[in-house]
Amino acid sequence: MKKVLLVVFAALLLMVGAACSNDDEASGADGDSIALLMADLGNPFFHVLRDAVVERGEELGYEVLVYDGQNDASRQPSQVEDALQKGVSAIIINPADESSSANALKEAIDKGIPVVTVDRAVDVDGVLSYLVTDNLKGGELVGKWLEGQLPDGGKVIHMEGVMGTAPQRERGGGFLSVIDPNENSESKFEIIGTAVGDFSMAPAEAAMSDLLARHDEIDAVFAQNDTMAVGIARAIETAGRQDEGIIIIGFDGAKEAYDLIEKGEMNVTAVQDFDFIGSEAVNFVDEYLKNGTEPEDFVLVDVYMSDSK
Amino acid sequence: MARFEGVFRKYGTVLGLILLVVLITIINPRFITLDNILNIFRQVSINGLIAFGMTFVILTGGIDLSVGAILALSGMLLGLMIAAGVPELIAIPTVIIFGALLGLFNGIFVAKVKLQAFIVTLATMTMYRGITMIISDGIPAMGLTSDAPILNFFSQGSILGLPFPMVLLLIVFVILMILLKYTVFGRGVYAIGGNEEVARLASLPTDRIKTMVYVISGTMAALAGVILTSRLSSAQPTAGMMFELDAIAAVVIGGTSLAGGKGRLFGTLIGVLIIGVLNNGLNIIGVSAFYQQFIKGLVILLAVILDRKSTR
Repeated sequence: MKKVLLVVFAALLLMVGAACSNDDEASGADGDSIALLMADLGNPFFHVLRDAVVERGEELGYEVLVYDGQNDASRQPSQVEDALQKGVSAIIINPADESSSANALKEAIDKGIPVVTVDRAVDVDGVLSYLVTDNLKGGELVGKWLEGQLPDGGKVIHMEGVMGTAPQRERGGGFLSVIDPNENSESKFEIIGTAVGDFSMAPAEAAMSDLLARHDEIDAVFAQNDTMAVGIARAIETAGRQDEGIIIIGFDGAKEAYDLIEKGEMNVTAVQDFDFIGSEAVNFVDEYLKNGTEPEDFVLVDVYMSDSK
Repeated sequence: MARFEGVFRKYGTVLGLILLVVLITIINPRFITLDNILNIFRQVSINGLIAFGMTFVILTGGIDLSVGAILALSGMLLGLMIAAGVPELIAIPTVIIFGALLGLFNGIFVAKVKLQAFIVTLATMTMYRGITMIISDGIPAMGLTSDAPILNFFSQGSILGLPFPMVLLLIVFVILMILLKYTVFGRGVYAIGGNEEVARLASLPTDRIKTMVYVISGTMAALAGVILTSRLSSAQPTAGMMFELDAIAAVVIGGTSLAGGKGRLFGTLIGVLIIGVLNNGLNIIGVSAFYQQFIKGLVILLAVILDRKSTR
């Protein structure tokens, strides 16, 4: 038994060692550095944001220290503190929620370190700027795109994300304001099914296979993110109904969606311009550090449909 | 008396399932089409396999919170291997064995180091999720079944008109049922859950049996991971979140006591079907999402209350 424990502890020490050596690489902050705190790098879509910040940061001569909050809001406050310890000149944060890191960021702001939040706001005064996708407008854009595709209307399924979250309410709200006859009396569409896919693939796939069993005629499906759209495409394939021409619309502009669109298994996605958001966040920080220019404190960034560029 | 009680337990949940099916069918007859029934079986196969493994663990008085993480890790490993061009006939068995090893790791800490199962599997759940992120860098592996016909068969294939995941679920059910009912190991599982000290004094290899149930649980989770990966044609690093809770719910609805020692695999199968029928049926009759969550919770509560009543 002792042998087993010994092996386990040896393995553990090794791993801690490996993790530390990573940290060392990141901590060599000589010149100006920017801390980038991501809520969850487990979602590949956010890698676009990270890459944009790192790339623009390095272009402008900053070292970018990347932290992953692993979708756990309680991690971020200590990561902010850690960044302050390392003496970063600015913080760009994609908060896991609106309040957890507020106190830690307050400390940074009090020290005169500029803080930019992206994709989600934090409940604290003195943030330099907050950049976010205009999800409501994005949802409307999806609705209008669909109107353009099916001028005579059709039967639509709406796959929602995690209920009660801002993207779910806004993307869904914008979409329904155009498509749902209850909200837009001009609409020729009919919402024949609404299900919750929790922004992830397996639940969306399962719910879609239920709806496929229920409805013989479906014209279009709007998924509030691309991961769900991929699951929906798979459910349609499993049901053997890929030749019915059901229009699949996603949201985000993730790589997996582009792959499916290229293969003709999905139609379009509403692209969040994370490239722009990421590099603009760095620009704001850079201008502020160099010239003291203060950017707008709230910037709404438009989405675009993937077939428009 | 004990026999009568057993019969009652068994039929209580079966009656609940029948009631649910009749009710949903009255509201929307499309529920009962052959297509939809096969669809339900295809869907419940994943939770079913995990819940079968979980039944063994719970019968010994333990719990396995790491099953969702094992599913994600083995699914991810499978995805990476297929994407790297490893032949699927090697990759699939490898990840199932890997799942068994992850279960063995749990079992050693529970049975030999004698730590509480809840804590051990909570810790390994976090570790396994961590390893999944490390090996995948948080990026899903996509489009896996286009060049992997055998992997594709795991979800899309059918035997005699029945979906392969359903056939697999039933085969595994029969094997585990025999294991639980007609072997020394199976009797040991019940004995440990009833009273571990007595089981030890009766010179049963309690440590080995306790370790083994986690191996079964891990194997089942990995097998479920293969099916899910095939279903989605992709491996998601965050797959299987909360799957442990669905499995535990199915086991409990099926009448197995969380205290261990009492319960049946057949009950778990019915519990899995109740959850599956409920998930599917609420979508078929078009219940709004807010109500769906509430109704699911209510059914679990009712099932447990009914079970309590019928065993008294």
